[in-house]
Amino acid sequence: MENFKKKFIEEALDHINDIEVAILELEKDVTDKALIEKIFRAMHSLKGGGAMFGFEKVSEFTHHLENIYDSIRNGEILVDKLLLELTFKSIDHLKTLFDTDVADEKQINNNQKLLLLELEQFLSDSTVSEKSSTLHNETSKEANNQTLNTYYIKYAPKATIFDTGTNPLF
Amino acid sequence: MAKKILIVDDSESIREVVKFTLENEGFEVLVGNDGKDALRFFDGRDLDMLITDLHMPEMNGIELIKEVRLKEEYKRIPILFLTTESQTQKKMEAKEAGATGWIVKPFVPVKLIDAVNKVMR
Repeated sequence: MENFKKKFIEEALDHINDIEVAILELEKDVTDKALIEKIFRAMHSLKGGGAMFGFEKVSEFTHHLENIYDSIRNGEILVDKLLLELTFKSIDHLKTLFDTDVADEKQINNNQKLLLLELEQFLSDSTVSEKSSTLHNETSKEANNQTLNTYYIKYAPKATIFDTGTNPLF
Repeated sequence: MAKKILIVDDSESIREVVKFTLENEGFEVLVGNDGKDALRFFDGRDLDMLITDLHMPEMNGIELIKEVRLKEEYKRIPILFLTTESQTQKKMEAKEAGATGWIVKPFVPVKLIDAVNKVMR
């Protein structure tokens, strides 16, 4: 199993490197679908392999990033400066997870917690802003459509209406 | 004669661990790096099972399963796919494409062997 683990670490470092290169490219064109797909797939492999070979922290962490990049490739979230920054930070963090020289386990754990919070915050913020922008789009669409509308009005007065002197038939 | 199993995954470490596990059980194991690479093995030779990952570059697992099922000689070969997602969506897609069953990653060797023995004809 140790040999497989070693192989996985090699692969993981390659994936991390690929993500880094892709992010630098993505900075130039945030809509590049092939790059987004590449990043997603690398995150996915890190998640799966991490779980397979006993790197739970890698697996947990990349699971969140994978979700974000899945939403991006499905067009639910747009790539912005904050996301690029968060991904760069995440890459640095992932590197420390494989760096055996970094002995400060506690600091690594804290860093992971903080970054996961930031990623969560990013995800909920972008979902909210997306919701409000669709809402906004719908309202403006409605406003644009107000050229001609047909309304169905139902008017059913009681028989006592005549008692007050109103004549609805007039 | 040993039964032949083809394992397809873009991750070398996963390929190796599956290969090692199955060879220990007495199977003959062939490996492919992705769907496109794996297709070269479907040239009429005897294969007893295909195990494939779903997310792969070039050709993904679902496309591979569809391609294999189009070939007359391999219409009935047992196909297992490896998946990390608990999402039913991908599983449904792969089943619809013609897969026999799936193995959820991460898996321990005994789970893999169980799954293989279950669907091996």
